[in-house]
Amino acid sequence: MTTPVFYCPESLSALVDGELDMGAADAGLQQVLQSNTLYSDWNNYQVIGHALRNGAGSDGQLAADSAFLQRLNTRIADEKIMPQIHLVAGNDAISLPNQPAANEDVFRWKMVAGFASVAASLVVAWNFIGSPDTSAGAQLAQNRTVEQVVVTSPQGPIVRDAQLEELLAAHKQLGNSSLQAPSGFLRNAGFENSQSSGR
Amino acid sequence: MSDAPVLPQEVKAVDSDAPLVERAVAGDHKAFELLVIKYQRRIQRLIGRMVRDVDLVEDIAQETFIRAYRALAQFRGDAQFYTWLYRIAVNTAKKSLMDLKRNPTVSENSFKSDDDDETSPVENELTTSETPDAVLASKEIAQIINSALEALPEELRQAITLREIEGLSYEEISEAMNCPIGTVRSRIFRAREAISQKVKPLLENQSGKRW
Repeated sequence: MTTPVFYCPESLSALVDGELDMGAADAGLQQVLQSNTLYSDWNNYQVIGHALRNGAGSDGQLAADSAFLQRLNTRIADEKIMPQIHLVAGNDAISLPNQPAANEDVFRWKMVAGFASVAASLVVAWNFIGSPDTSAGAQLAQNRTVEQVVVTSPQGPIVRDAQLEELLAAHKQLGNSSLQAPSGFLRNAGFENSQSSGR
Repeated sequence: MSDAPVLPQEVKAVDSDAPLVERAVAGDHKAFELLVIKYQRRIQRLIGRMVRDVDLVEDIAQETFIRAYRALAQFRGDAQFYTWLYRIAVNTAKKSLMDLKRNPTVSENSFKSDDDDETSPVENELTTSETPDAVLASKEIAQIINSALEALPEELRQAITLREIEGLSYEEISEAMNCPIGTVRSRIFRAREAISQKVKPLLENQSGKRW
């Protein structure tokens, strides 16, 4: 019979403390599970640790360990409880650590939608806040004093905006230019000449 | 001089419970029992701080381990097993407290599983952790353990105290005691064995001859 790696009395103590590497721990556990003596020692070490940590504050827990386990085992056997591979729907009492939410992606989109709505609200708010400045500018422009001039026309004197008067004067000037008057070539052109040349 | 030869297995495991969990999921119920033995007192103590009614503590602890057993396959090892178990215990205790608020007349029946329609004979038994006999026996056990601790040689007492009470790792203890890790391992083992020899007869009597 080969001597198991674990078969060292100290190793059970180290196993209880989690101070063995995975390979040695696995081999050790195999032996604990097969040996009533080691199984009993495992329990004794746990009781000793608990008593040292809690002293007289252990209440009845030190003496009731096996009864607790017996009740648990009986219940597991009676109810045929087995470790489940998949979570049963509605088994909400167990929250598994680091389990991602089933609707994680939806939640992200909700975040995006939330940010978008906040941004839209900000834009609308900015428009509302910004509009008084714009209307104030327009109002200021409207309140600008308009210079008026009196112009003599064939119908009599007319009061006009000075800028309008300047604009009209400029157009009048352009109207008197050669661009608006027929050119000399066009003035001298005659229908008869074109007819005679056609013959 | 070292008290014992340095063993080759000196690398600290990431989660020492992982092999037990794997075995339990594979159907080795005894592996699950080892986990229960290891954590039942801590879980009961945790629940005892949340639930005032001491009669409910053991029921919630039982339900915690039942739920853990059912969900064992979902334990992925991202966290330590005790952290995972702790959360199940806290959730179970909270749920039971909410059930009690909704229906104050409901007690342990509210902790039964959803698929448990019939009353199990187990639930008709009295809880044993708070009976006068159990409390007396526990006090006696604690007394013997503390006496055995006091009787230990200084280096053994220091090593087991640093480990069990202060919660130091072997590496930290070796630094604190200025000795190799192998020596720490040996001292802790010898301390445990010395205490265990004193308390074993009492534990065997109290445990219903289970161990």
